[in-house]
Amino acid sequence: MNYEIETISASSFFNSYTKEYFNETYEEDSGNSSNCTTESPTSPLEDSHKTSPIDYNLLNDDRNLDNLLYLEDFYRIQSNYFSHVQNEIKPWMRKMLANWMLEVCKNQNLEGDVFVTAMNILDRFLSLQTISKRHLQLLGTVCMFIAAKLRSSSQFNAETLVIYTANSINIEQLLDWEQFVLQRLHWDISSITAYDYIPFLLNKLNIIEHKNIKNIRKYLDTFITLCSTDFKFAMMPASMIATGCLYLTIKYLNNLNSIQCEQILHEINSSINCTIDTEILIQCIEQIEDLVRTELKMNL
Amino acid sequence: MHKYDKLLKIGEGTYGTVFKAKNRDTQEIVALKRVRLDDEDDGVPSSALREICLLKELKHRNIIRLLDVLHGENKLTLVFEYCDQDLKKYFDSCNGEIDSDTVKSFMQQLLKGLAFCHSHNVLHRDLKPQNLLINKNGELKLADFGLARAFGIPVKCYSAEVVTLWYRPPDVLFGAKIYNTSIDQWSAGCIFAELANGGRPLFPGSDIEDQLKKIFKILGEPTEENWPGVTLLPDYKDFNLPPVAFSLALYVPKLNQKGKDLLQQMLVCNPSGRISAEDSLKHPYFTEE
Repeated sequence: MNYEIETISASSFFNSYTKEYFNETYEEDSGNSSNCTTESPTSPLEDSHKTSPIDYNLLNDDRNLDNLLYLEDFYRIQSNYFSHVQNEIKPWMRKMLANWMLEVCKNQNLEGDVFVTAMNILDRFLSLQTISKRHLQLLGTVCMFIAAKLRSSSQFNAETLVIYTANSINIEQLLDWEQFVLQRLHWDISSITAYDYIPFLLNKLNIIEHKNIKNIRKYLDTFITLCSTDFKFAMMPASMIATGCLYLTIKYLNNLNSIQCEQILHEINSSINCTIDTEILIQCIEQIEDLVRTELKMNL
Repeated sequence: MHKYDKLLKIGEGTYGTVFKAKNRDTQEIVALKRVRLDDEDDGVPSSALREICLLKELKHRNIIRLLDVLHGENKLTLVFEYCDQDLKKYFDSCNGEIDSDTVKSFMQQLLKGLAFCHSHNVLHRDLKPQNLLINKNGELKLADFGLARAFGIPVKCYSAEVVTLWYRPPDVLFGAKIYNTSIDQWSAGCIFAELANGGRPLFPGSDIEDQLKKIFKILGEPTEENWPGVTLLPDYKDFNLPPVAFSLALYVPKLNQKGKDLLQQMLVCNPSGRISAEDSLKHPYFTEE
C-alpha cells in the first residue's frame, strides 16, 4: 500500500512531457523572462504578478488549512435561491451574467480569484434579497467592484465598469449598491474560495515549485472559474471544488490510467485531511468533467 | 451616528479621523474611525473594505475588536473598542525605562496577536508602535489593519505603501516584491528591541539607504552565502561596510540572555531564516522563568 502511493504520487508526475495548454500557445507575457524560475521560494525573479508568494510558514502550519475548512461553510449558500427567494431571476440569467463577468475580469487582467469571489458575493446576496431582473447586471458589476478591492492588487475604476455595462448603469447606482450589498451581507465578504486551498494542496503534494507549475495553475484557473459560472457548484464546499479541479488537472496533464487515478484521488483527498467523502467527491468530479466537456469541448 | 457622543479627536488613521466617543445607551467608551466617501469616485476605499472584513474574522484578545460599522451620508464610521493609548505614547511617558516583565508581557501579546493573524492567512504588514494599542489593564492589541492583506492575494509593487521605514525588513528595502509572514516578524523584532531599550528605536533610518546601513552596521551585510539570491534583488546594493564590531546583544543590554537569543532569531536579514510568530511563542524566553 505504502509502496504504491510512493511510486505513484503527484510529485513524480509532470516529468517527461506535459501537454500544451489547450493546444494553444498561451500568452506567456512575452516581455517577461518568466522561464528563469529558480529554486528560491522568495526569488525576485518569480513572476509576482499572477502568483502569490510561497510562504512555508503559512503553508506548513496546519491551523491555516483547518481554519479555512472551518470557515468555508459560513460563506457557502445553503439553499437554491431561484426557488425560494427570487421570482424573476432564472438560472440561465445567472449563467449569462457569470460569463459576462468572467469576460470583464479577463479583459482587465484580474486574477480568477476576483471573479470567483464576486460570484460568491453575488450568490450570497441573491439568497438574502429579492431583486428584479433589471438590477441583475448592476449587482454583478458591484460584486466585481467589491471583489477586486478585496482580492486584487489592481482595482476596477468605477467609470470603466460602467462602460463595460454599455452604460446600462451609472456611477451613482454602482456606489449606492456597493453600500447596499456590503450592508446586507454585514460586510462578511472575505469569502473562502477554491483558490484559497490551492497553495496548501500543491504544497502537500510537493508540486508547488514544480517546473510545470505555470501550466498546472492555468488549468486550475480554467476549471475553477468555469465551476463558478455554473450554479450547481455554488452550494458545494470550496474545498471540494479545489480538490476536484486539482485532480482533473493532474489527470489531464498526465494521461493517467484508472489505477493511477484512484491513487491520485486518494493522495489529494488525504492532503485536505480527508474531510470529503470519496463518493461525493467523485460525483463532484464527474460534474466538473461534464461541464468541461460541454463548455470547453474538451475531453478529460 | 446619533448613538454616539463624540468626546475628542484622537488622531488620524490610514484613511480617516479617529474620535473617542461614548455610546449613549450603554455609556461604553469606543473609538470611532470615520471614512469619508464623497471625494472619491471609487466608493469604499479598499483599505477600509479589507480592514473591516478581516477584522470581522479576527476575533482575538490581542487584536482590536471592531464593534460595528455605521453607514451614513457620504461616510462610513467604524466603531472599535477603545484603548487608552498606543505603544508610541507609552514610550514617551515611560522615561526610557520599562521593566523586564512588562517587556515580556507586551512582546508575548504582540506575538500572540500576530500568530493568530498568520494562522488566519492575514499579514499585518504595518506593525509599528503607533499601531499597537494598550488599554488600562495592560492588554496590548494589534490595530490599523488598513494595509493588511490576506495571504493568497498576489502582490506587486507595494514597497511604497508597506511598513514605516524603521520597521521595514532588508528584503523589502532591497525592493523584493514578494513577501510574507516574515515581514511582520522583522517589525516585531524591531519593536522587541525598542521595548527592551525603553522606547529607543533600534534602526531609526532617515531614508532607505540610511535604513539599510543602520541594519547592516549591527547585523552585518548579507552575502550570497547566508542569503542566496540577495544580490539579485531589484534594489540590491553593496555598501562595503566594515565587519560588525559588536554583536546585536550589546545593543539590548537590559534584555536577558534568552531574550537576546529570541531577538537574534527574529532579526535575520534573510527572510526565510526568520523565526515564525508561532515558534517565537515557544521560545524559552517565554516558556522558562
